[in-house]
Amino acid sequence: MALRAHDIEDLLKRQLTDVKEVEAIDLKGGNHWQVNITAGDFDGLNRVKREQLVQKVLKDLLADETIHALVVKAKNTEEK
Amino acid sequence: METLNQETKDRIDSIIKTDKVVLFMKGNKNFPQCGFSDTVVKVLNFHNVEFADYDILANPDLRSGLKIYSEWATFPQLYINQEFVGGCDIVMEMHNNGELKALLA
Repeated sequence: MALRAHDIEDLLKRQLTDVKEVEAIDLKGGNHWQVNITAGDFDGLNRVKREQLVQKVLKDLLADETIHALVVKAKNTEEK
Repeated sequence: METLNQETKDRIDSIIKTDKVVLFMKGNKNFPQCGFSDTVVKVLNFHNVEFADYDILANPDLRSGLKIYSEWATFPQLYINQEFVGGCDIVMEMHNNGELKALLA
């Protein structure tokens, strides 16, 4: 079952709080993904912590290499 | 959730203490086996900085241990001064905004 953008988006929306917007983009081959996400959970976290949070939500997809490569652009609610 | 055995944890602790800049990557600095690892090698070479490279393809327990140790599922993983800096996209962003240069100084 190929991974689709809304599979990733739904997972993030369900597991993170105060998600303002989330967009998953298939960069290449269905296993290279970019996630653009704005959520209150990221307030006060640096880049690494934010991406670690996103990776925790997607950990099973990452563990079995369904997601082989991931780029995360995570903003908190104030950042444009 | 796999746990990180003490032996692997100690090994990673000592590796990142041994060198200021450590890159856990797929392949090695002369023969990177993945585009993202290759990109980080090129960025470090651009800054002509000394770094230790560890091939996680040749070290499966290092590979699984690092996913837990760094709380980071992908490679490459860059460490500077025993601090986890990030993967390819964060290193690239820091390279472009000057943060990496400052960190390596």
